[in-house]
Amino acid sequence: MVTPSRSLEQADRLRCESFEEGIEALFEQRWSDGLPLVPATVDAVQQMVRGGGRPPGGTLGGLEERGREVTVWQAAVCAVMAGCLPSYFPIVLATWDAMFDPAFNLHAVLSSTGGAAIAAVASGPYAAEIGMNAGANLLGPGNRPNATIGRAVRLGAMAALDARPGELDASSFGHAGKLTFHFREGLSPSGWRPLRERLGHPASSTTVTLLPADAPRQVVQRFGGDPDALLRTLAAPLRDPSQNGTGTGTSCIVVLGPEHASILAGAGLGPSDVQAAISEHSHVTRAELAAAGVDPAAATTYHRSADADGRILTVAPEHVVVACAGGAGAGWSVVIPAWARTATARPTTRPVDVPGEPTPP
Amino acid sequence: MAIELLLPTVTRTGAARATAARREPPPEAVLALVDNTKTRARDLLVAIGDEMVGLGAAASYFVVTKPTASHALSASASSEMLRRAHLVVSGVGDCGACTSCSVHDAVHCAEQGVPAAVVVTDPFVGLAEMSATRAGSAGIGIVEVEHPIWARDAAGVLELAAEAAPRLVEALGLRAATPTGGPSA
Repeated sequence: MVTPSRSLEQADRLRCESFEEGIEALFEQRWSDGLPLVPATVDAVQQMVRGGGRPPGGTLGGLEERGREVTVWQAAVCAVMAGCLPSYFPIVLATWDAMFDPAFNLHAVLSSTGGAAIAAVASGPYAAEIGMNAGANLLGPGNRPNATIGRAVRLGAMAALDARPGELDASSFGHAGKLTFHFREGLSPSGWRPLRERLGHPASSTTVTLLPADAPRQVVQRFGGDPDALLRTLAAPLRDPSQNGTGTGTSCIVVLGPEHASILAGAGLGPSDVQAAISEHSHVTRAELAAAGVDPAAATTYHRSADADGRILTVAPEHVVVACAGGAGAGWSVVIPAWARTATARPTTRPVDVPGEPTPP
Repeated sequence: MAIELLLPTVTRTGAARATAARREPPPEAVLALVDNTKTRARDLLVAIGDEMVGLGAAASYFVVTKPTASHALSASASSEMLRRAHLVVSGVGDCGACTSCSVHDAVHCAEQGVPAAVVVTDPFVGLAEMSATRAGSAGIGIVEVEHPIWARDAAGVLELAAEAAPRLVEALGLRAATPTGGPSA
């Protein structure tokens, strides 16, 4: 495998006469995602590395298909360029850890014409401590950690793994989430355990859960407080035959806005009930697919077989990631469909190792 | 004020992967076709198999179907395939991840000394070449067909196969014999 320089001291360097010249040079040398980058000075990179608490020459993972590995210092350079503070770096590193889980199938995620983004929900106190946004406009602009952590890993994928358009990123369209797609889980309704606990991690820990993601679908349901109607609405985007995952056994993140979470919890439902209902209501029939011009018989390897009642599974309950977040509104939630089925790639989760804090059991 | 920046550059000095010497196929060569499950990929590969048998480049062929297009063939499946095959054609690269993984399948076979080639559609030739280089290359053949294959009918698939087969024979370093028209396995 081709490997990167093993030490920070051996990293390639670029001498510029000014900060402004550095910004332009980074554009010219194709390190940018299209927006200006922060020039990564030696001091800034060293501070970033210290923020993560791992040796700079350590390897985060590799892709044999690309003959490439990613080291801590490369991730640190990209985090500086993205605009991260050193305190964000533990979440950047945990994101890389989850990206290199074989179940995530990073090589395919970064290659596909389907234009997959790396969506990440951070759950836990450290994400709140560094100021990640779980409230209003959490998927939009205005919050530094949300905007820069996701940008850091995308820059790293471009720089260290050749996931650049025209090279090994073959996205036909891509979408805005490929620039950055990190957010924080907010407060859950009383009686609901947060995502990290439901995934088997301690309440005191912080985790990141990734989804190889299509663009988010904002869902509105403001037509009454019927929990069953709400769950059907939340499942509706997943039944869209034009989605790549519909009827294939895919995965998704359902981000419940505060009004919707309150309605569901008030009806005595918990996250596992939501997972089961989303799975149930997102089944499709062959006739529904055919009505939209999709013929499963023409591509039998993609769609699952129908059950005895003629229904085709879209997403199994265990592949529905439920998180509560978002600002108060008219009744909004967000469904983030995976870009492909789980046979290709699945959500992955890793704990965030915070320097100076004991590792959770 | 002058500043010095660090760049996240990769170095290109890693150890080359071991590649076995090419194993020349026997006169009654068996061709393995690695179907990546993309729409029409199997149809095209089978038609290519028929054409190559007709050209005398192989005596028979068999198809190995991968679980998904977005993974390379597993080590065990590849070993099992190479116990039977003297030549390998993978494909069809008709998108991003599937192209790259089909290239990887061919590269792995070539590293074992088995002549291998990949079939890709024209927009993905550059990606295939880059993927082959990144994966270690090992001298695989890359044969281009017209994109997209998923929109082709049966006659269109046969037409593509007839065009691709002679170029595959060449890419695999073979010499076409007098057509035999023999049956396939």
